[in-house]
Amino acid sequence: MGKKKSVVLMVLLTILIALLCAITAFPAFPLPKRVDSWNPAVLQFDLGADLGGGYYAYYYPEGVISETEYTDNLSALEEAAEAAEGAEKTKAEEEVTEYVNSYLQHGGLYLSTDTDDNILSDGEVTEEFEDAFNGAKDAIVARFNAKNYSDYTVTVVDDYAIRIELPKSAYDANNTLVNGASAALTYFANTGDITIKVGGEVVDELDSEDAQVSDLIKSVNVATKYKTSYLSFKFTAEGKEMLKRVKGTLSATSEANSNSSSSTTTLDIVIGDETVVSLYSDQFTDSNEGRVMFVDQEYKEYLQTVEILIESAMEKGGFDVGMQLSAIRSFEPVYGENVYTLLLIALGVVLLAILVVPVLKMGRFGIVSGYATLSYFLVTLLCFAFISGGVFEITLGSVLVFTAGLVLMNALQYYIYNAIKTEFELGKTVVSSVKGGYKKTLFGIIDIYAVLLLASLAFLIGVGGLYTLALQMLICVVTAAFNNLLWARAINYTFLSASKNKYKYFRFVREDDDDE
Amino acid sequence: MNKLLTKTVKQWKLLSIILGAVLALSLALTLIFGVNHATSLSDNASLTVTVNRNAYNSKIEQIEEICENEFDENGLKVRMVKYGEMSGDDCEIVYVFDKDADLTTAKADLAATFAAKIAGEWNGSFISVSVSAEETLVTISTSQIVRTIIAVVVFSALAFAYVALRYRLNMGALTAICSLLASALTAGLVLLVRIPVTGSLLYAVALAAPVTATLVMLTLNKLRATMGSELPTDEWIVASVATKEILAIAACGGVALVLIGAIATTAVRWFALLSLIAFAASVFLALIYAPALYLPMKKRADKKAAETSKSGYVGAKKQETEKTDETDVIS
Repeated sequence: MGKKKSVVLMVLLTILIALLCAITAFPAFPLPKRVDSWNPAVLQFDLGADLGGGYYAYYYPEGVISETEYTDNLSALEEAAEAAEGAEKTKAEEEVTEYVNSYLQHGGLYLSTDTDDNILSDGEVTEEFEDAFNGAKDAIVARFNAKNYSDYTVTVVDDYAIRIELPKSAYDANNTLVNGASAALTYFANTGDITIKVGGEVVDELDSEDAQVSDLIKSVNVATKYKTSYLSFKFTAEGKEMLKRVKGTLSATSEANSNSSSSTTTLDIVIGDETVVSLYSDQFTDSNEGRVMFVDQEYKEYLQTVEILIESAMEKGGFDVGMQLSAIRSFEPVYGENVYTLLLIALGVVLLAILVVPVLKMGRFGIVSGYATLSYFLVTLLCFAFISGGVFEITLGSVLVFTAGLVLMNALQYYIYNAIKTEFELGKTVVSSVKGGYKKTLFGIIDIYAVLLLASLAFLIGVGGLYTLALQMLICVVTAAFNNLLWARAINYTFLSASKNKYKYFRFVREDDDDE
Repeated sequence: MNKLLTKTVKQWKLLSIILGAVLALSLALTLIFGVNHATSLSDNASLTVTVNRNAYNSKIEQIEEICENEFDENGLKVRMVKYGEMSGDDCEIVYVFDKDADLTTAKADLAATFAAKIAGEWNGSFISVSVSAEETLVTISTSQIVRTIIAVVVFSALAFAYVALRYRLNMGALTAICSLLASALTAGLVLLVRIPVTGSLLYAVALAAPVTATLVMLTLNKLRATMGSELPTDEWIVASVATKEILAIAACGGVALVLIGAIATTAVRWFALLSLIAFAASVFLALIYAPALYLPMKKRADKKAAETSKSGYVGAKKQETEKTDETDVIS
């Protein structure tokens, strides 16, 4: 390649990399004459709980309230009693006494003393309530487990309440029930029995005591076709017989659209008091597969929540304790409010060190490594930022795999440099040494990246954070391999062509110079 | 470094015993004392201050100061503070303590202090104080641990297959053994030194395997390139260890992790330390243990090869070649 061409290419490459660095890492600022602001890619990551915080909520069994709620209610009643006069004051004071007697304190909770709630008997928690709570608790843990969040905790608070913490990326910023954590927290609180109803009546097949919904429904899955996701219900032979019998009575979706919902007849999957899914007659295929809840593929996670709930209810049944969801609150990163900023600063320092040290060790070949480093930095961070769908949470594991890829790539550049140096010391020309060095290291580097690729694929077996890590590792490995095997080599070729002194380029020293 | 390698290359049995002892000790310690979970995953006692949104926005620093003074007076050590916020409704400040902490006095004092403030200058604020005992059910879920172990085992099997095909069978076995050991050693060392554990441990345990495989392969590349060397086996192995490259990676990786740990918050430091342990385990296995383990493997392979040539066995292909040669000579 001619020197002029090489210089032009170098300049273009430098401008491109500088531009992409700005898109990736330039600090955020408000845009002039616009409401919104410029945000670099590094601020658009979905962060795991350890870096971005998350959301938490409590499940209180019916008849159990928090101390805060008890204190607030009691204060309100006491204030009313204080403000009242005459007969009303007496009545208000009686209400205060009644309220105090209707609850028994248990740590930070208040348990209802009403016998209808079957929580307390003679001041002690009943065995039935304890068993029901423990059963419901295990079912709830299993449901959240099935969601495969990268990071979540389930805590029992004062023996009879549950707190669940989920990562922020699991939550839909629009605060709707369609997506994410709010759907999971809401749906998974339902610990009632599952049944199938048609027109509000339980189907005949479930009349007997030992009849179960799993006798009628074989499986429920989330399917996707043409970028639309839906819930697919497959029925057993007995279930298909039931469908044959009831299909004729079901309304079509067109009737639901034109009439009010109360006049339509649907096949309902009911858990507790809540109708989770309603199927109309035209939502069954010829093979009696039920297809319902059609949503954009982007909202697939919501359907997975419903799927997990139905499967859990079918497998474990219902529990004699209803759970009530508290307000959903956000919490800051587990590791502190500024952890993400500090981590970016730390990575910035590491990046600077990795850019400078190769130049000191390898001369201008180190600058080639620097370009490769920046290319790796850009490609991986842009992929991390813009590959969407809760799968791509950035966690501390992501930081580790990103750093490992960066270090490995530069170490292999150093490996190549040593190979070139060895060739040069045999008496070859610089150009021959470069060719020889690359040739000798090619298959060794390919083998290393092949094994790392196998590692990424093997880690896809993992769940939650490890699955996400595997995808991120795949990106890091492919990018690093591309850099070491092709990109850095091409940049080196360009820079070397433009270099006046090829010995100085590599920091080689030779007395005789009768090559060039 | 070569002097050290010359000594250690013949000590695979001793090194194996040491590794086994470390793993056994960490297992015993874990079974006796349990895993040292990080605060966020431990059983705790907590004191929650619930504040209405307006008061939370305007008075949070004063509320925190009152709480911190109260904790100091009662000799209570706060392990963690969580801020639970909700737009337009009550927010929470959750102070987390050791599960055996007695928060009764602190709660009563704070409730009285806030009540007095609300009756006076903080009129219109709603602040309540409650205490709870918390039992963490899900720390690191069993399915995550099991899947991580399966993933590491599957990777080791794939690495064995690939390296055995591309290099040699004994090299494949070496890579697989070192990968598995790296993950086990990482987990063992972290549990042994009682570093507070979170789910992030699984990342370090999983990544230790491919990192070790990579470092071992740097040496295998050199061994493959110098196969047939006339040096004695142990000297040849020592000379072929990719010391420079492995130490360069060790230095870069170590510095990067130290920088991350030094600049970021305390809890990230634990993670950086955990990663440093994984990294150190990988470097140890690649630099010291792998060459030592490879020596008996190579000697065994050489012995087998020598026995095959002594027995006079000639493979079918070679027989065919020899027959063709004889025919050529006769004609």
